[in-house]
Amino acid sequence: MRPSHNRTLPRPPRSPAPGKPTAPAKSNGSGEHVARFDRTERAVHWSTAVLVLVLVATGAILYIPALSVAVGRRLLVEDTHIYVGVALFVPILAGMAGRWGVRLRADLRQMKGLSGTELAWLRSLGRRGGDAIGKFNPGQKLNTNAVGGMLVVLFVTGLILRWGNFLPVSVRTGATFVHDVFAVIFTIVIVGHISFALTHPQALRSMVKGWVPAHWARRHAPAWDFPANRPPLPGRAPRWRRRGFPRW
Amino acid sequence: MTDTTKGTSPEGEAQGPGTALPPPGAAGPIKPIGRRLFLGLIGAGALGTVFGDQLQNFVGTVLRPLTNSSGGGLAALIPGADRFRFYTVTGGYPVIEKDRYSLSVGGLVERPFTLSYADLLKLPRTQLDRDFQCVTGWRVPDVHWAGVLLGDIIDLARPGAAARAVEFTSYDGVYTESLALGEAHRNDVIVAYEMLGAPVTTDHGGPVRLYVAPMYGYKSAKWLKSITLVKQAVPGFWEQQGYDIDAWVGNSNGRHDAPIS
Repeated sequence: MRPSHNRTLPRPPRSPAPGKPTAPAKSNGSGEHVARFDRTERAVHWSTAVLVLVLVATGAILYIPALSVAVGRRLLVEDTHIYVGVALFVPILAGMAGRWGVRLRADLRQMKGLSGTELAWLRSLGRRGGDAIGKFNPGQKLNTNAVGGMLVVLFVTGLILRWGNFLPVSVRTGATFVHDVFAVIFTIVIVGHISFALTHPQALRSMVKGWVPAHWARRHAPAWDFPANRPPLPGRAPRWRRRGFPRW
Repeated sequence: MTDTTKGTSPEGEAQGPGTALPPPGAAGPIKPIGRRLFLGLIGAGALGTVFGDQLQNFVGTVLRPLTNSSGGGLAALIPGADRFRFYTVTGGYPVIEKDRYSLSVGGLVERPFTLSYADLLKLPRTQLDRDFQCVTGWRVPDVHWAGVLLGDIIDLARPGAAARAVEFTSYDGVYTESLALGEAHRNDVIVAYEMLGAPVTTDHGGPVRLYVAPMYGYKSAKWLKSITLVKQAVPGFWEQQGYDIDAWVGNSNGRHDAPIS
């Protein structure tokens, strides 16, 4: 099955003729775009990012004595941390809920596994198996799972800290410990994520504007099954081209 | 999924640009490693929540040589280390020089007065080596405290017959606390000028703070400004947020911590 959610998004003024293969001279830096993240995905990403950054900042103020002392207003900082934390999964759940979440759900399904070649790519730190890299590389897939898993743990332990008065004190102490440990590791992972984004402007732009240039996708995601990567079908133009400019 | 690999693709003869690519899935079966990572982290979090108490004690014990002298340092930032968290309910903390410090004692008393820092040092000194237990769960064991018994200071002012409770204010201008008169006369409740074996630092509420050993830390008001005897105490800052007025360690706020040692 070809995934149906990947579409080439031609820049309107110079949209290539429907059904024709893209010539290398044109596709290479010609401005042909490949849709990578739709509006839902970007909205979910950036609203979650804002929530997470507020949580990291307020968490750091609560955790690091020097910051606690410098900022003060503990009650306000605590309340902000708690209620922003409660809202943490609202964007992703809302994004996945309806028809607008088709691509988000499809992309998340891709995160669950790695092929042998992808593992080899990971083990060789990207030196081998580059041909097997699809829309998401193995590092991105693992990062998604790690961030997701840690956020679930931080969310649940956070609820225990705030509203777990009915639980035994050993459980609440354990939850505090886990919340602290996961928060430290999570912050390191997020710093890594932001560093990768800042050093990979095309990837970052795909999360801002939604697309990557086709030549970049061919180079960095050769196994990504986006339409411009396929040989033209005989006869009719593929449906995604017949339908014209995708509205998303 | 097609099962072709690069180079042997049946579409290989179509030499169009962008076609000499392995189809997805060419790299063999997918192992659910991502999902294992996701669920594994959640499992680790659950295990840690159940057994983290013991783990935290272990980490705290291991790190104690690094953390217990100063109550701070970078080692104290390692999760599980015994350490103080510095709480202030205002935007910062008041800096009060020792020689300008004064503590006023008043309310329902026969003889209201104020004490300077030097006056406090002249009063009988009481030392305690006791834990500091926060209502949010952290505890710093065996903190060395020194100061004057709160009961002694109150008695100097000769409380009237109507006085039943004691209210405290802080130099931060916001924080308030209170104790029943009987609680205030316990021999483990002091107006402290030493903590961790040194003069109380500004972060910790110096130069003079309250230390109510048998109760959660929010009773131990920092930057102590006044002691007022009253008929009935107004609930303190955190108590207005829902904390218990009687803040016995292990027997209030829904907590069952081990008693202070």
